[in-house]
Amino acid sequence: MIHPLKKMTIMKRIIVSVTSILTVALLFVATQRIQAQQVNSLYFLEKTPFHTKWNPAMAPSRPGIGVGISSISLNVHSDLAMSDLFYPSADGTQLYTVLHPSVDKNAFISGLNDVSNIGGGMSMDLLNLGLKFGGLYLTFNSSVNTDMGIGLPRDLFKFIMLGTNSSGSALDLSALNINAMMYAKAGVGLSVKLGKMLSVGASANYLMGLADMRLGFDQFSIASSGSALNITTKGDLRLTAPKAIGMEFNPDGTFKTINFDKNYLTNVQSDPMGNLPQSGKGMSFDVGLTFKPLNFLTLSAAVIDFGSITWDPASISQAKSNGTFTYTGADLNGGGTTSMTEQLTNFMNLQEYTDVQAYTTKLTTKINVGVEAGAFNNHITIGLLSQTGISDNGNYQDYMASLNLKPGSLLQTSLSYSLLHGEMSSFGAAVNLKLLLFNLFVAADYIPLKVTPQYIPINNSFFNFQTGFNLMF
Amino acid sequence: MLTFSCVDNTYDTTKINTEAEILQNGMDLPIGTLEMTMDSIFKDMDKTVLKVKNGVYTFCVGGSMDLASVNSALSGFTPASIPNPAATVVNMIDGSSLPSVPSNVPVGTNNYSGSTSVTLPNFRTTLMNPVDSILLANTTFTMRANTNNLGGTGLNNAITITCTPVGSAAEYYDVTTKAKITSWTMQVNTDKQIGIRILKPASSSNLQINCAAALNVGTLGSVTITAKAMTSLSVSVAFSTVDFQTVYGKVNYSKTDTKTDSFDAFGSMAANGNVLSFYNPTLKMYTNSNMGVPIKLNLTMSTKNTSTNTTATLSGTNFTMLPAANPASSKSNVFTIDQPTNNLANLFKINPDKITMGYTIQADPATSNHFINKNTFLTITDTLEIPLKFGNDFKVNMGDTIKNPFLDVLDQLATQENLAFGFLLNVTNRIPLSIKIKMTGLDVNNAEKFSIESANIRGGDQIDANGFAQDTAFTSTELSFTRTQINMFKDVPNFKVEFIVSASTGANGVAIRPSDWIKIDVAGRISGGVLIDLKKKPATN
Repeated sequence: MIHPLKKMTIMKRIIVSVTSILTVALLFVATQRIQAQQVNSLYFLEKTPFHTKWNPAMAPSRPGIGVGISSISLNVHSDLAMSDLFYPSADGTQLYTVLHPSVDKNAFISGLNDVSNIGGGMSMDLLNLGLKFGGLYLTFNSSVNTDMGIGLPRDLFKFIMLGTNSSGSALDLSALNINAMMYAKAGVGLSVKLGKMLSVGASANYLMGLADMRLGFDQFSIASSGSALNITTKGDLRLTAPKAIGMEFNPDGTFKTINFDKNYLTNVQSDPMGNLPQSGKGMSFDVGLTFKPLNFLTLSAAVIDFGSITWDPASISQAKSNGTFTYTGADLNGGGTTSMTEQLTNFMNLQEYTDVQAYTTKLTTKINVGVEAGAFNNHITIGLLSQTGISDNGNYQDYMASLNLKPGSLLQTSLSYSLLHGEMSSFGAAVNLKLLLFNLFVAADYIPLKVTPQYIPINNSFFNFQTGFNLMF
Repeated sequence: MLTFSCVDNTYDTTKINTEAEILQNGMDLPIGTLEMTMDSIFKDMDKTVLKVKNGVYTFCVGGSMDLASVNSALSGFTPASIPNPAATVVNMIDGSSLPSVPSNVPVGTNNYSGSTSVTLPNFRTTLMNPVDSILLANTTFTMRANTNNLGGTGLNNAITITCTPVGSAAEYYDVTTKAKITSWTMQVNTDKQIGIRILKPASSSNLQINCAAALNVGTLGSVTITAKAMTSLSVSVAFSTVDFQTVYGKVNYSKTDTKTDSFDAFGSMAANGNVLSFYNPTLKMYTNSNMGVPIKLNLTMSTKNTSTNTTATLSGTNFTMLPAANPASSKSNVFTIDQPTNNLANLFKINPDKITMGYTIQADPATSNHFINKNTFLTITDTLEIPLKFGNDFKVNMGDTIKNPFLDVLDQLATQENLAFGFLLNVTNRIPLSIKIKMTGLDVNNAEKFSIESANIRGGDQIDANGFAQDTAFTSTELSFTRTQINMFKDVPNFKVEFIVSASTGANGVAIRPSDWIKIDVAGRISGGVLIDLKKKPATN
């Protein structure tokens, strides 16, 4: 019998303990969060184009412009790493999946969090413009952001791996959740140098909500009694989107599926700006400062993405469930069978809900606090960054230490080490190149220390990547 | 950037062992519910065939016997023609001694008489023998009296002839007024048409008509003798074609016909091993005829199962069709053939593939005073009614062969070590028939590889006097495949699915009505864990 490793190894426990001491009051278990994020490894490379995204006070030294591929960031995160799902055989000749008959599935399941979150996001800057007027740096920017995630409760794995007949207890799927949000952002920012030591900056952004979907449950339990399932469910499915995307209900009012009008999507692709749907709107603000008390020491702090989107009730369709019912399967009189997806939909027993209300989605507000100390005329610096994320779904705390090489304006590099959300650690790296007017940067956080021969991260289940091409004058 | 990372060869994904086991502790998962009323099951049936009678579903099929040859024979009476008699001559004034001619007939009245007669045929045919009488239609004769050696401008008005039929061999009528007449007058040199309504050859074989002629000369010179010879009247009679409406007498007719056909009315339900035990089917024969003769009808019906060489025959199927009361009416008769009297249900119990049907139709030889009309008809229609009401030995195995429904997942199933799979069936049944489900795995040659069978699903309870179930019966059963059978799925391209329906409630005469229903909750039961191979791809077809 192969016993899978617990997710939290002894080494990781030590790391977490150290992290706990440092943060004291800001230690929170990571939970699902929906927010695209910048690669932190770029934080101390101040010549990165439009660096005000990390801290509005950190203005680049030159004006610039970027269109289309000014910045593209991608992040994925999962509570399950490859090492959670695969186990090498003792002799190393085979790689077992967690489903292999010899694997102790009960041990695997007991090692899971109550909910395993998997998600990702993408952010693409459509336009960035930076103008420098003496000690002022004025920025204009617009971007499209997409985030999505799914939370898989432990009992869902239990359902698949062990079935419904184990120990007679009900499956608890209450933690099942699906979230997805897409919004556009357009803003203006200003950074001001106040003397030689202090810079302050702020930006205001208009948020245009494009679409938002949330599925969650206060209670969702399934108990098997042979030919029937006794299901208790109290949940909410909310879809906020243009009319081209909407829920479809069965004649009895139960949720059936979500329909997409492909023609509408085609129209959006052909004329994005003319057909961008607006289902919600809001504002967000960024403020920051840098303080350089000594020539080799820079302190910085910023609050990023403080804001929210309020979604328009006219664009909301909603379904709710609340009650206990006995599920005996599909109606076979129509000759139909049901797929597993349809089965799960039936289990949820979501009913059309018409009394929809406007609601607000807060962005994940990030508090960045950084310290950078330099040597050799600041060509080599060491930086420490604390990033605290605050959202309705929970908070997180990251720490990053970086070694930054800045031989000149042509090249800036950074090698970072992060403590991930209080759970894991990994390296990051960033490179910023500038040749004449052309500026290219590539950066990644959470670079795995161990990978498979196919370069699949083994222990990491987080990855941030960001790149961009701009003209800097 | 991954160059920062170390490569761990123990996680080489090319070495992934794709064996997997899911649902390790088993799973019961509801698949669905099937709820059917008999009304919904039969909704697409032809409502002219499947009817509800007395609350019971009843198959009704009807037809008619081909009696064209019978009707042709019974309408085949053709009366013989009546011969025309020779002309009758009545002498009047002898003019042979007159000095000269023309010579005036003196004023005054002279009377003369004579008669004409004809011998009638007996009108007997093979069909009618003897013929008592015939009600004729459009049958007449024409009389004409011509004078000989008489002339003058008043001749035609001077002679009046009065005809009087003698005897009761016929009845006459005026062709204009259609009124019955017993005598008539006629003028010379003018045709006189008389209708004959009835001929009674049994009463007399001779038709005689006496004729009395009166020569009344009012004015001298109006009638003259034109030749020095005997003057006379010549009376002739010419009969038309004899047509008839009804002929009375004694009908002599008999016909037998038999025909054997294939019989597949019950399709596959009549397979050997099944017992099509209908509680009381009924065959009703509806006859209608305007014949005035009792008809003996003997129906013969037998069935045969040629594979078992068993036969079944109806019994007690001699009937008498009562005659019409009069030629203007018709008589309907209804004859019922059923199980208690005629063993009708036994015909279907042997799962026949041949049926022989026949009849003997005979005019009752023991009676007489029959009549048949010129437009004789005899029709026999039949209605076979089979109520869905069954004997307690009823048993039918209905099945079909389907494509192996598990083929789609076989490509991902590994060889199983502990897996057992089954369908859980919770059945609530108010149909008063028991059902057993059987699945047989068939190889490429349709040979049985294995079979599984459910327990007996009980029929509805509390059968009342009409055969209806008044309460439901609940049965929980399972159709289970063993590990060995599951591993044989790949060798089984087809499954034979059979529903073995029987009246195992023990009651005789259980009946199915539209409101009877059955509800089946189907769940899948997996135990022992499912071994799958993640590498295998499901078939895409």
